[in-house]
Amino acid sequence: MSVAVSESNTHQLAGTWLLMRLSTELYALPGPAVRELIRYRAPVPVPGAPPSLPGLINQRGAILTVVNMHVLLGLEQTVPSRTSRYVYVHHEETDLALIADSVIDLIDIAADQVQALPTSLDPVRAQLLEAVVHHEDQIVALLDLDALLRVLREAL
Amino acid sequence: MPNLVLTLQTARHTYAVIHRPEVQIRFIGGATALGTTDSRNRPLIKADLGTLLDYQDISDQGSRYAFVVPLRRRSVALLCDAVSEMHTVDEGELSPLPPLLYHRLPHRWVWGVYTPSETLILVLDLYEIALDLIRQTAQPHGETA
Repeated sequence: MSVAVSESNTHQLAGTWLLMRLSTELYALPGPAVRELIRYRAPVPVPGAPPSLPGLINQRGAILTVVNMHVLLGLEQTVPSRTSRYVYVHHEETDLALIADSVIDLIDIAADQVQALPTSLDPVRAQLLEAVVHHEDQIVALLDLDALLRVLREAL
Repeated sequence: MPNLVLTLQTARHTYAVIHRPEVQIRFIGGATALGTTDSRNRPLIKADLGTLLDYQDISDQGSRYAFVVPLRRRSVALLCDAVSEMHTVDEGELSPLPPLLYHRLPHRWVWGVYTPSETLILVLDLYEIALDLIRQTAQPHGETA
């Protein structure tokens, strides 16, 4: 069972998305918000910061707040590897570096591919997602950057 | 206007502080060499900066440096392993913490970042750290800093 996605929202979600892997699952970020892909390096930890915000990196003078998506989505933690990347996202005047286990590709999503989230989905995870799509026989969850910023601003 | 910045080392990390002439830097042979009072004979509270900021950051150095932060009624000595030379820093190399992160922190111990070339060093606010330490060790009869 799933919750319906309105037709206008479906059309808004159509477009280019960046496909990435987090743990064993596929997620996508809106393409226009993605500034750059950056090879993973250990962030500088900030004392007292919550686990979802493990530190900062300096990317050619831009100070990026690192976001641990695994913590936010309740996914199993992974050890950074040579495929790990930061996805530099700029959204609502905020610069973030989201940790991805790997970045796969840019994909085009058509409005008729967009499906509602399953109602059985964990609400903590569901609040960060817009919808799902099927891509090459796999389910891809579309991340909601407005919701991500809202959750990051609240205490976890 | 350029700022003067000092970098300091703990066992695991490098931090920066903006130079303030009223904060003394003292070389000490060990924590006990500092004594229990400051130069004005007021109580001197000591704390290890490394472990305050990261509980795993434990120094094994016998000789330390102390940043002695004078407050209204006492001073706080914040210990670290090493202190670098002073650097003159342009405004562009110092930035406040990103607001998203700053507002999620439980205290105001980190003012911002110092970004010489491609690196990133946290800039500490030693007064905020000292004041919080005083609050934590406040006497039951209501002494203040």
